[in-house]
Amino acid sequence: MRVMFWLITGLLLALTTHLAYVLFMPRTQFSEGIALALASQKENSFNILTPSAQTKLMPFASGMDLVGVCKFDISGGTVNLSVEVSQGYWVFAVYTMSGQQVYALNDKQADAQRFKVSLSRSATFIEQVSDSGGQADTATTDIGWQVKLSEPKGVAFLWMPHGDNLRRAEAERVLSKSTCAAVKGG
Amino acid sequence: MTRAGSHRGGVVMHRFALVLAALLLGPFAGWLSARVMLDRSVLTMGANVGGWREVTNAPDTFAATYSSGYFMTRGQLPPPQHVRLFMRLRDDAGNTLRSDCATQIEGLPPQGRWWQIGADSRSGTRSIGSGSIVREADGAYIVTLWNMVSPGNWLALGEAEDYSLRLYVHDQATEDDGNLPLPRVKRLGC
Repeated sequence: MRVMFWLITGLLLALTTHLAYVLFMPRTQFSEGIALALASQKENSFNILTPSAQTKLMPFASGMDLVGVCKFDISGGTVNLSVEVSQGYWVFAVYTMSGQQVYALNDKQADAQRFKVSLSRSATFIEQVSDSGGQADTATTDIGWQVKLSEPKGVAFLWMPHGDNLRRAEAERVLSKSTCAAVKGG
Repeated sequence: MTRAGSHRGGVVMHRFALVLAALLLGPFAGWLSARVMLDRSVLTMGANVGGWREVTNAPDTFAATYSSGYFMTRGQLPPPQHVRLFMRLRDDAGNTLRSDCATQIEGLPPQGRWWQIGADSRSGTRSIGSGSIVREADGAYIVTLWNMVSPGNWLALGEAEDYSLRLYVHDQATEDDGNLPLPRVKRLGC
């Protein structure tokens, strides 16, 4: 009986350790990896990555592709992205620091070469209960797309694959006009 | 010491060993299984299609926890959800993929808006995509992977090391797996 008790205890400890590692360790290593890869990038600013940085950060991108990134922090308020892209296939995605993809948009869905995305905190349970008229939502309806996040920090990127460096240079010129900025008083 | 005392001492030692084993081996087994599963599950959990394993990245699935964890533990962004990712560690004959052996990938382009083949190893990732790949007259493509210069589509690999192959298909035109041509992988020589 005593042997059985300690066997079950050992199994439960193994299961707990397994789940804790799988659920928390990748998040920690991901946050560290992102912080290291984007160490030179300021928060809430849009930057075009170097080929080596983009292949390190995004295994699905090649060195010839074009990647623009905004490392955002919405703890101080809303962050607005204004993105300009040239014609062709592209993907815009928002990931939280826990590695969850919370938003994606591509050229077909956007059907535009200039678009805006607003990143803001999702309402907490208490805020939802006390919200009388949804004023926060109507105040930003002209911004384009709105993404509500449950985590304050994350990464938004625009990835545009290219087959040759000539097209990449032109696409980079257009994408460099993109901005990512915290809204004052947002 | 009497025989009864010696027996009692043996029982205490036995119990102590049992408690120690449960308290140390349990967490160690949990830690080890988590590390192995995060590292290997992407190559074992998905459906096997012609030697390629599809990596599940649909949200809120058991397999996705491990497959996204695979990328996250490497400090990488998991592929977006509209991307289908196939991986493999061996060629069609079952040989480990090695950079000092010439390996050829041959197939028809998948029906997607963008696709890319990559070789991932400790020294980095090399890839070639649908925008730059040179195709044969019949539309098929051939890519050589080697650490020595090769004619045609060539992925220049690093020094002697193992690598994994990845095939990314973006915005696949059809959901039917039967219509997704996955390339053959054969070793030409070492």
